[in-house]
Amino acid sequence: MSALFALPITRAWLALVIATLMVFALVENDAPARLATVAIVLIASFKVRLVFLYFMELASGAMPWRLVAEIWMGAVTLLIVGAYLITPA
Amino acid sequence: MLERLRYLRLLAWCGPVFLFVFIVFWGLMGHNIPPFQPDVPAKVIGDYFRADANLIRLGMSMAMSFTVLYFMWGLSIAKVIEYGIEKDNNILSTLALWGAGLTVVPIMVSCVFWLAGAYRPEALDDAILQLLYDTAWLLIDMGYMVTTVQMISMGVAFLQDKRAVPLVPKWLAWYGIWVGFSFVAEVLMPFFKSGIFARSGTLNFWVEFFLWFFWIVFVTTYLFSAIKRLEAEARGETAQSRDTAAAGVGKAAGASA
Amino acid sequence: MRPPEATADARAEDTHSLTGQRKLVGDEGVWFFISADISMFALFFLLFMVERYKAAALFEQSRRLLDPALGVLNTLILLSSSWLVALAVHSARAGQREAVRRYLTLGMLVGAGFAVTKIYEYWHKISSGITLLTNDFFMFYFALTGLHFLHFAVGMGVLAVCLAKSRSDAMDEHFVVWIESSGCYWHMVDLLWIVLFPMLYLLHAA
Repeated sequence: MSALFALPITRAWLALVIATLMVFALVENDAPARLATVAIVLIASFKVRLVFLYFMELASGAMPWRLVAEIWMGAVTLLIVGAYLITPA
Repeated sequence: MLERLRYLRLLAWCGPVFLFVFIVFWGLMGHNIPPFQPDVPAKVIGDYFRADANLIRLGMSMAMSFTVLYFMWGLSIAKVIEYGIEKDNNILSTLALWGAGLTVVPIMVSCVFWLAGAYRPEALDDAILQLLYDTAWLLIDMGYMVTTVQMISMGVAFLQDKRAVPLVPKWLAWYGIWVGFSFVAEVLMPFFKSGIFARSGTLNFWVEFFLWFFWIVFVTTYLFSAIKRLEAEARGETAQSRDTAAAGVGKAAGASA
Repeated sequence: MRPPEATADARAEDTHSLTGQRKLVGDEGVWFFISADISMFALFFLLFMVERYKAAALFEQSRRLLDPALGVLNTLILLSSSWLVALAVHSARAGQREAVRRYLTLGMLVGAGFAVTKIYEYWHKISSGITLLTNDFFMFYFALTGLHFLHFAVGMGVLAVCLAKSRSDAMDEHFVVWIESSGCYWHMVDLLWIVLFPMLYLLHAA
């Protein structure tokens, strides 16, 4: 059992679950909307990174796919955060 | 075995010819790149048919004449799969062949609706002309599945190639499978008169048609090299069987000596 | 020649090539497919954000009709299913057939929960008169989650094939590549939802 929890994928899963619950907490409370939303998107980006690096095991290189993943994550995060911030209320 | 490869190159050339005719006659003359947005008033469509009747007649009659070349191109691919890759059965090559042949149907038949609109537009109501235009686009888009069958069966077949360097690279096999699946988005097309899912939309026109266009180009490139390689393999086998036969004769001669 | 136990452990983490650099998990062709698919979704994200920019009030109003709790639940379901499938891959590398079957089955069972939640959400919306034709926001909502659901369904099929293969196939390199590729596809389904959920449900107009 303990061997299971020592695995990188298990630790990644725990981090993902905690990050998801953090998002839920941000949703439920009354933090300023813009700040909370940007935080939520950045947390989502972090979660995607965990999936790419640990579940899909891109952590140690495996080019060009690691590059594809990084570019995709960067572009999507920038897109959503950027578009969100410039959208009028 | 070299003989059965005889017409494949000629058939392969049908692909580029089809593409050229399709783009110039169907696409440019037929005002289909992009099509009219579904939410334009019927009068716009009516005026188009009346003003450009002869251009449309030319475009569509040529398009209809040359559509069958897509099937001929597809036959070339199916034969490469059958002779070069398949071992136990010919199911995938048959699916690829029929997929290519059936793709001719929505393309050719939809052209007749545009042609009909251009045949005597002065006698028809704008609403009728709009209906003809809409019908043509509904057919050409919603017939997507026959092309999907062709693309996916080809992709699966190419992936089964056991050669050290496959006839068609893995990425292209997967690209075809992915594009074939992505056509499913066309299912949303009948529901929208504007936006990305409409017939003129970013997704259901620009993305889907360009993905298909590039797929034809890439596949054709590797098709020619595949035919060349199969010919070389056939020559190699012929030389081998000649050597074996000669060795057999030599042995018999030696045994009787 | 390494002793048997060491071989099992070595195989368990043997994703390194001879040069010591970690090799790609799964078949390279699947990675091409995954790249194409996520690129398509990135285009969708762009189109959504552009439309949102043009109709911020409408999008905010519509967004509020969605239930974030269900979104969180769906996220937790897919994350856990992904983890279980990753454990199956890990077991396959160690040649542990029973563990592979156990984790794949669990992964599929948990994953099935996603379908239950999604169908409930859709039913709830549609019976309230909200469909993909209601407005631009809901067009994107239904189309994007619908497309994602299609990917999910294909993924469940792929996992089912893996499960069938794990029954009879040898636990060899060929099987490992197969299950790794399937796992990667499944993780893609997971990560797409990780982006879709906040983008559709949680972009609170300031």
